[in-house]
Amino acid sequence: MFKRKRKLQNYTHLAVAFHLPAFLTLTVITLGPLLYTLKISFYDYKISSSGSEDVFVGLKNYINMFHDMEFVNSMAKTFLFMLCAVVLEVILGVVLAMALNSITRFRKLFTSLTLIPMMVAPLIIGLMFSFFLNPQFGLYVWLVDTLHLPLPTVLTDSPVLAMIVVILMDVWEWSPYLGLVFLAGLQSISGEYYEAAKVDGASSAQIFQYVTLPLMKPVLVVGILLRAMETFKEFDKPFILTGGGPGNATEVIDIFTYRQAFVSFNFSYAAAICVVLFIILQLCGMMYQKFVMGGEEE
Amino acid sequence: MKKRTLFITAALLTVCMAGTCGCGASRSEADPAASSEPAADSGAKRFAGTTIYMIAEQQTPTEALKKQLDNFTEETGIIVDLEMAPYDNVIQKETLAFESKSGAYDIIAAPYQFLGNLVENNYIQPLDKFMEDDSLNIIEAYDESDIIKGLWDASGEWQGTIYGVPSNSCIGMMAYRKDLFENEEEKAAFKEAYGYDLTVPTDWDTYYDVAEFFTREKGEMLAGEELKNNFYGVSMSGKRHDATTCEWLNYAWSFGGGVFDEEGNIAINSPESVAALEYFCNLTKFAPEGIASKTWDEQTTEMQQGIAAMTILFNDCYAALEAEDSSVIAGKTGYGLVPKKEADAAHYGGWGFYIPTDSGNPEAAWVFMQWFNTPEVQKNISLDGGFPNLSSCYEDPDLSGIPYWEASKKAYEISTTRPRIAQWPKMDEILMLELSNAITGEETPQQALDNAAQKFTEELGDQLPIDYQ
Repeated sequence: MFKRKRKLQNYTHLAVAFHLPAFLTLTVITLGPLLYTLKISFYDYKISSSGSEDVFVGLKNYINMFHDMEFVNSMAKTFLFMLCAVVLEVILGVVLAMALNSITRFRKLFTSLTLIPMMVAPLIIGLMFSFFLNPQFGLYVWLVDTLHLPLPTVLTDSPVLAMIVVILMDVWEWSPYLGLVFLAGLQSISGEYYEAAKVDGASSAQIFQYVTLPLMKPVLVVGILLRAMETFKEFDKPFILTGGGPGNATEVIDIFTYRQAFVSFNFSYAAAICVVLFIILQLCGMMYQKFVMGGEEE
Repeated sequence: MKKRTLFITAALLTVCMAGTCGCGASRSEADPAASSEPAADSGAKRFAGTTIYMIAEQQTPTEALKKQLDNFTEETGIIVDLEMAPYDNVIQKETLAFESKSGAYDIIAAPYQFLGNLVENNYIQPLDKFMEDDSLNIIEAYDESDIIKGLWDASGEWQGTIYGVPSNSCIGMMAYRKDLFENEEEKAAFKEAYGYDLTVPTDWDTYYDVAEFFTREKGEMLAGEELKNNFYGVSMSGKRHDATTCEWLNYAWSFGGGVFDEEGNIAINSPESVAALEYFCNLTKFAPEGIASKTWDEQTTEMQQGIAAMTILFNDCYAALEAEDSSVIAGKTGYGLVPKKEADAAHYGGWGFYIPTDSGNPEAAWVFMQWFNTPEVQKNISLDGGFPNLSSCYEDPDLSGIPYWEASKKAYEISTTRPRIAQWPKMDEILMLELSNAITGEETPQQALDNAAQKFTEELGDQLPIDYQ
């Protein structure tokens, strides 16, 4: 017994020793840039201004942020994008999960097929949609013309339509992912609940409302939080399709930050925005952990 | 079981981390030659064995340069590690290299509007000391006086000091469908409709009339053939992108406006600039739909597909219009200057090669710059679709047959440059947004340019009037 305990202790030391290089490397490459970002957010570092990296300005960049209408607009656009995209993705995800759960034949095939959009790189999706929607050569225009659909043929010139397209791109990419997550949730619900509900004479709608939804709540919350965090970081697809335009209609916060850093070279301001975004995402992450870990503890 | 999983995971992770550390070889580890001392040999092989690292935009002239790098190595023994990336990535990588003081590059390519920024931050070094050192001027075919002065001044000179040499040079010009302008039916129809002969536009009124005349719907006739798709008078950029700023500046300068006036005061909302933007916005109704997502890439494609009659575009896109395998208008296109109102306008959009201050091999980098500006290298780049920096190349009979050659030569003579001050990147960003707002009708041209002027003033503050651009 004593020998076994000692052996285990040796393994623990060995495991710690093995983990240490990874832990240290990850700490340095994660914390290093983070602390540097935090530091320069308190300076006036603009690449267009020589010596500005040494000018300490305290909270000026953070205060400026809330007076900057472009930042406020960009945050508003980001929340709008997040809200619409996540709501649509959750609804479609639930529908997809229930559809996949109800079929018995070829379920694996259909499940695999639904994975296709999320296997495509976001950059490629942006390009695909830009070809698809091209007003001169795109398939979309051809469909609208051929089927005489009462739809506009140019979608990226109007601020409202451009935002809708950006949201739909994300929904197209990520609804299948939520569908699979929810499918796993659905399959973990014991059949006994449904049988009991049926015995009690519950209708399909009642079963969905009082059995399926409550039991899927933890999975739904996790899915919503994960997608909310991801949509908050949206960059590639709108950057490729609209470049944040027309005007700043689809300029989500990551595009705005990118422009501040790499187009205007206002590094400190971009760093301050990154710090604020980090805090927001950290809060989302904590909520996520609370649901995931909290659920396990219960 | 749990212990075993932990153990295996830890072991795998450690192996992976060790692998990652191994892969991240530094510049000197990756190439022992980079840190080697120059050979004692003199002459062209003086730096044999040295590796220089450079970054440039991935485009036709850079590809053409890459094909010739072996010749440079053969001549000098210097190895060139050329990294190519799209525009945004090049700027991003260079910014990070400067900011982290990594010394990652010995030569960088950058658009000339960044010159003031690069100099004022001490990111790049003056070339004077290399130019004056005869022991470094080892490329025989290099003749400094052959470099076109206007290009060199724009891309390399800052307040009397030379910091770089022109790398690739492009200039704003007009391309038009020569076959349509020469078609008798179209000529007659135009005369009947507008009361004067159909000619290649040299003024903006004619440009507008011609754009309107050629804009036709699917099913109508064009040059005796029924159109299967809509046809447009012009192809334009309108995305919130540098392409739109670059195109519109041709119009602004030609109308007598611009970013600054002669005294260095802001002129972006002068009556002339506003008139230029009003004209630009009006003209978009003769351009293919979806203007808000168009850049020079889409303009090139639209011309290649033969759906537009005219465009104003940088001439480094014109080789694509003459590519027989991808362009239906190859051989059918004419080239001319940007129409004129108050002043000549031809937007010079070139790039320069610069040596970063933290370069480990600045002398070898200077040798490369000499070799790059020799007639053979420049000629080969031109044959592949680029444009030379040397006067002698414009007289080369092998190049004069290129369809856009003569018009390009004239355009370079009247070229205009955008501001090169350190604040330009931010100002350009502001202008992109305001132009986009005007083009999509979110703001009137006057409102958009007033907003731009106000933001420019905030950005420049007490530095106005700008005394050096």
